[in-house]
Amino acid sequence: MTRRTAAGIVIALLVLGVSAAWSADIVVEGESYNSIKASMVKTADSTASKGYCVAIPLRRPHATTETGPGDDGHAAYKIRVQSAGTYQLWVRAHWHDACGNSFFVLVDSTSVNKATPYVTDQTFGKWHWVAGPTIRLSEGVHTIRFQNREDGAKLDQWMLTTKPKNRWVPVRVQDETREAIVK
Amino acid sequence: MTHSRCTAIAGIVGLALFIVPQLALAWEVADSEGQGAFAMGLQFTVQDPARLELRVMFGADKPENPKSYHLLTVHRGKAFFSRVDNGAETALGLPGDLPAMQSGDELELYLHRSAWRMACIIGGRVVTRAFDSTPGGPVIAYEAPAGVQVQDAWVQPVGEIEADDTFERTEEEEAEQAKWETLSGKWELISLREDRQAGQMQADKTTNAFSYFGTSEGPGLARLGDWFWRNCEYSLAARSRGADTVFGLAFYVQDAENYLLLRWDNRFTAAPGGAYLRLDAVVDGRVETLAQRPGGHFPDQWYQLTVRVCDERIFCYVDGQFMLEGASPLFGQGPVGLYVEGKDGAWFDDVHVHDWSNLVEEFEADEPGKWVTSAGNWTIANGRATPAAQGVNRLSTGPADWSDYTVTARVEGSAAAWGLSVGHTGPVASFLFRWSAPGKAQIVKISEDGSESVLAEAPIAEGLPPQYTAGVVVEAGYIAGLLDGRRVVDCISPQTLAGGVGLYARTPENARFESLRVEPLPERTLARITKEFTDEKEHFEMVEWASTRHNWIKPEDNANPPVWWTKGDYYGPLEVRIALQQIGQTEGTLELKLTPDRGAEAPEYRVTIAGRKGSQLLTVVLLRGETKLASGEFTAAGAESQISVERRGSFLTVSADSKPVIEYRLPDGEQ
Repeated sequence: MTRRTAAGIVIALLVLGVSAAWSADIVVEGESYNSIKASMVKTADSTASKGYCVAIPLRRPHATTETGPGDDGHAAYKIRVQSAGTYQLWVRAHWHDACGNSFFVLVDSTSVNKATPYVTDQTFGKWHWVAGPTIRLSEGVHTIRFQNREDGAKLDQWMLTTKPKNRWVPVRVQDETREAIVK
Repeated sequence: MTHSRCTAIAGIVGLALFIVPQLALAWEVADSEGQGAFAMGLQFTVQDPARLELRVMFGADKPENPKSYHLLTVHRGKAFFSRVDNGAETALGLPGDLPAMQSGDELELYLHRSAWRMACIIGGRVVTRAFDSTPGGPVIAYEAPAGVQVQDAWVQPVGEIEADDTFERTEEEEAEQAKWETLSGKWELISLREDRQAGQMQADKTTNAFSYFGTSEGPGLARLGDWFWRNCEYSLAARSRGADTVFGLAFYVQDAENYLLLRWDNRFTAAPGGAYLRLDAVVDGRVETLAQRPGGHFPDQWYQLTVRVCDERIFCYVDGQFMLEGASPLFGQGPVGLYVEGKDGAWFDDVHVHDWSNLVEEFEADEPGKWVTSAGNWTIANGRATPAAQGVNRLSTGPADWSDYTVTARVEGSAAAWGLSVGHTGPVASFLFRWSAPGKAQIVKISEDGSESVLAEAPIAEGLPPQYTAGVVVEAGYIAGLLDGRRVVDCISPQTLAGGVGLYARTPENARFESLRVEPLPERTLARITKEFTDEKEHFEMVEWASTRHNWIKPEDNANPPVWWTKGDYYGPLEVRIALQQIGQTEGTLELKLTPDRGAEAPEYRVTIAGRKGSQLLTVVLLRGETKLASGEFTAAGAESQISVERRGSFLTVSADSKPVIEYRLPDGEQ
């Protein structure tokens, strides 16, 4: 977690400049998807990073007759992983309530089954980072897909990091790593 | 924040170091983007306790030859903070003793830094603290020149801490994604009530049938949260089942045998000496009671337990009532925990954690950097802050971002004038509550150059007792000065009033301040007029709870005008917020009545807000009966404006989109 630096300015610049490019963290804005399918929609939100997020809009009436997601609405993202490893997924989310507080997470997959992981927690009505599953990724291009599990869930950013969550958790908006996004 | 993983660049850096070895420093940069609040962890092995030397530099503007930075030094059995400016080192806080160490010991050091506070934890104890608002740069680095080998270092940015759990999930979801880590005992999610009325329960008409249930023959503990949680408020609801179960709220939880605990006995448990509410420190499983009071809880009844911790002082509440206060340097950080003891078990619900801070200053000793003297001469020692200079004495402390708080202090002796200042944006710039008795009370705005402008003034007819308590309430848009709890002067202030606190005395004689406390204002209780008031169709299932029948008394069909009265009676400070919609799209007048008796003929205060189609200009009028008291206008930016009508202290105010429109001072007897 540390790096040795030299005292010279040149060295410091070299280290900082190179480190950013080689960082293992991948940060993606919700609206930077490669594809999106309703009921997932891109939504303007002044409280979200860069003013936009993706969301499963509330269905009316909410949480009274639902027995599962109404559709397979999703946003899919292609990313390039520089080095194989185990990554911790984090999602900057905004949940409506306890019946609108999750997304399915699909990695290089399109079908949901009983083993499909999802992100969820119980902090409602505000943007916050939610820990998702840890994901084993090989070097190369992968598709991460966030899919409707409940209406009323919004996603502002998501990130993959090799830092374990017992050592580091995101607490602020992160800078998007555009170089990791495959268009 | 970008953390570099240096394996890929090690070769480059190594080459560079080889080329310019004479420039290399011993500092290891742990983070070069450590701006703002952070917590740092550092794992090290003691090689020689007598020679141990470890330093952490933070707030530096650059990693090499920084001009100014803060420093944590661990050396010769002590840990202490300092600030370095252009090579000159100034002590901050008081040095603390290190725990006993032996060669080969593996220890962890944690450094916490927020806008004003800093603290160092070594070996599971807070060993030193300091206070300084001087902003710093983004670089955090450390060096270990002697007696110690550092294994690992990591930096965690710290933002707003907030975590909630209402346990509203299914057992299946809990099994898939358990949020709570079981350290001891047996814990499970419960999704239905278990009580005598459970059979009558209609699951579709309960807002929350979920809870967490724990049982344990001995101490049972489940925890949630992050290692860097520090200075927080924790609360939960708990209910025991049967006569033998004890429950509690644990915090700063390290593991199953190390934590702090608010623990409440069952009233019917046969315990030596009876049942108690206790604040305990548990170290390696051994319990030390820090504070206690007699009395136990009733089983099968929900209680809310709350613990607030700041600077190692701990305040405990049951159902919102203050119960216990204690202090402990132990642990200093860590997750929250649910605690149960008893085979019949207990339910837990509504867990909330958020960052919280106050200031308790007993003036036992002068902690360098904490208080700043900007005028006169002050001595801080033996429980007193004593002004000594003839003329004006000023002393201040606190960060620039404190807002919405009360400050109180005990006052003794005599002076030509006393003062408590708030909203310090500099050592002098502030708002001063100043009084002399008999004489007058004032609220004065003081600029950084010392120039004054009086914002409010009121006479004080009588003298004060030899010892009394002075206080100031600071809220966005409002300041009030109090003597022995009685408001003597108040004024409308800038909406964005923030900053530290201070003491003031002019020409003191045996004068002193004691026991100063800064407490955040309690959150406002919200009597919410729900969205369903206008949107009932969207929530037909909630009609029994959230319809017009719930909050409002519906006017008769032929009433003209149709007045909707709230069912609630509201006393004391009051704010009514209304989202005014369709501005410019329709014509009409909204009238809000504030009256001591619903529907009475007595003249009531009325606020009318009138708008016209095609115009964004709205006219606001405050009346009493038919008498116009004040008026104002505002231009709405869009089709909706947030209107606030507020009664606090001596004032009735109306604002639109947080901008004042009317400020009216109520007559005596109605304040």
